[in-house]
Amino acid sequence: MSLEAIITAVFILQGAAIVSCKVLRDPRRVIAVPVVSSLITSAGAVALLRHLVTEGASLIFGGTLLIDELSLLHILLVSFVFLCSSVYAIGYFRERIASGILSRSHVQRYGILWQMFQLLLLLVLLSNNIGLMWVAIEATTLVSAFLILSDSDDLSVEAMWKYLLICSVGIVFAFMGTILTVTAARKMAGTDSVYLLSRLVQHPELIDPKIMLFAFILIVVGFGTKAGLAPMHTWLPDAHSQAPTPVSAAFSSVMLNVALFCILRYMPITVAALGNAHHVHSILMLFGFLSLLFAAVFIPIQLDMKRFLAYCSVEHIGIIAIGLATGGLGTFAALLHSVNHSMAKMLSFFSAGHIGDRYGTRDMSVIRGAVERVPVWGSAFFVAVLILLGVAPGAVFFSELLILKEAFFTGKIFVVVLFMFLTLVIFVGALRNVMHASFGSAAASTPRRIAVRAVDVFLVVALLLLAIAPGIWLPDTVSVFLRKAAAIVEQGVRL
Amino acid sequence: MRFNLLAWVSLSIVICNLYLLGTSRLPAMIRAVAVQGFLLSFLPLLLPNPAEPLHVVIMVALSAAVKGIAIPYYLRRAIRGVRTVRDSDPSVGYTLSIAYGIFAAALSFYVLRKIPFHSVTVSPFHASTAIATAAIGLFLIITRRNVVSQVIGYLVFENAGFILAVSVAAFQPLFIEMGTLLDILVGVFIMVVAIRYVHSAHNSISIKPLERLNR
Repeated sequence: MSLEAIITAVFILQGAAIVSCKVLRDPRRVIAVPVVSSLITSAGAVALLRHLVTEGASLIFGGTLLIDELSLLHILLVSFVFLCSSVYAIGYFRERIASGILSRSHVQRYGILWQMFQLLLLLVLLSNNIGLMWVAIEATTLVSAFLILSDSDDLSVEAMWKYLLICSVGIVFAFMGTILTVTAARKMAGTDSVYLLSRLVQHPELIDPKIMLFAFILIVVGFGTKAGLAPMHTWLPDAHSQAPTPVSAAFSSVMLNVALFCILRYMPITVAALGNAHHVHSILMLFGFLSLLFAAVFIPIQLDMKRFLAYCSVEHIGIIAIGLATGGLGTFAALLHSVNHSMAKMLSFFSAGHIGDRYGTRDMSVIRGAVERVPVWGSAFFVAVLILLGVAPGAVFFSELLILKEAFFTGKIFVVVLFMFLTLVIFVGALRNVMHASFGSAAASTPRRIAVRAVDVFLVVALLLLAIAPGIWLPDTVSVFLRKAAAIVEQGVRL
Repeated sequence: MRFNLLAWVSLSIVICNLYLLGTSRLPAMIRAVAVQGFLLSFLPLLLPNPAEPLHVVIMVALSAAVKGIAIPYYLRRAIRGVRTVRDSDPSVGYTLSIAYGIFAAALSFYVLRKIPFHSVTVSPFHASTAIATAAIGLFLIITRRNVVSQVIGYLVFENAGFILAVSVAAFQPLFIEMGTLLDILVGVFIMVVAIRYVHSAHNSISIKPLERLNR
């Protein structure tokens, strides 16, 4: 089966799934449709992987789309996160449908937007044309804004408005960066080809380095807004905390990664045009440490579980940026970290959503004894947060260690010291509130009884394994795949 | 002749910016952003080396329809729906805002010489208009205390991106340009729907009730 056929089939089937959400009348059936569509995407991603292994990186549809290790890594991640979140959403929404909080039209809107969101993220990842990539990422903002509103209370309206406005403004910066990239590459023959990533990276000598550097700054500010890099992250804690839990999980576990992916695509072009990585690394290092700093200041004072997790996202996006700025092994570690963070963050959001439903609040100063009173999700939340805070043998610990190792052996001692200091502040600040919520006296608050579904236990076990296993053993095939993806970040795709 | 027209259009865009900074009436702001959108739609026709004629004609027609007609129409419907005609109590007063606008326009000429792409722009006047428009769009978003004014600020900022694109003569493939316009149109449509949500949740379009999560 050709790549064109695989992608066309996935997009057509996804389109059919979107239509079926509108046609189906039973909300319980509507809520199951995203699971089917995520399975279709996952099957498509596996087919692309098989093709990539045998044929290598390839252009699709005359060069408009591109599949390589870097894009496939993110496609696999998007497929998996959407699959898990869609499965989790069945339980999450069924309770709300049964209690009358959500109407059929609410659920239909969620089903349609959720799948469009997934489809557009895939389009961003497949784009070889930087104009198409921009159009697709802007469209993800428009489609996902109303996903935040699924519970439709006043605070979610506020969160939706901030998300829509701030990300839209950020994306205009990215538009300016895109236009200036094309301007920098104006010596290349052909109007259309200067928009193709695969062409831009092949002819760095034809790119004006000064304009390209200016474009890259706008690209980092623009896509960085959507990725949650500080200080452009202000929409993130509000949107993540107010959105329904499956949406929070998808935002945190893939949307931020996809926005960062756009920056990754521009990195090799800018580095090649400038002739060295110094400026690119300095820009990413600055935004990375700003993100860590904001997280260190705000995490200790967060009592809302989901808001706390949102600031953890700012922290980890910062760590990924620092990894990329370290270069070499740091780039490999940054990619590994983005996967590790997604696994742990998905589990922690699912757990926080369940605990919040049980206690009727997400306030960690009110919740007590979650590990004892809500054993499955309470324990999952505590362990997931420990993993996110970088406790061994979690996979996050391993990828952070690799970043520090690279920084240390390349003589960036100041980076190592500052990194360790800020993550220590976050560790101490976060653990205080999380310990109270997990192990405090259970008599202080009484959770509602809700039966734990077998599928929930399966999700917890599977995600725990995925969030820990790479910290103990990273299979060679995965390691080789990540190394190839890291090489694309550093040198661009070679066709 | 072409250059003169280009200069006049750029000047008119700057005047629209100053008008936007000095008025509190939302219908007047919508009219100003419509005029600005309509004017800048014609910029590609005035370039010294225009792209393929059919491409230019399609883009001018589409841009004028989206920026000059469709978006203002949605915004007018939005303010009719929420029965609000004034943006009262901005963070920065109107006189000071106009002073900022003049300062931004003047500074943009200086800034242009410092940034690396000044040598490839169609005309310095044109590119500095893009910089001034961006600065004024961001200023409107930050200082105005009403969601409709913020959307207008976003549109002005987006117009700056459009002027920049034309000023560096960066023609995109037609389907990308159409996608960009569609994104903006859908974006404003969604913002208008969001304005209704804000109004129904708080019975106001002021951003004051939208600051509870900051606490």
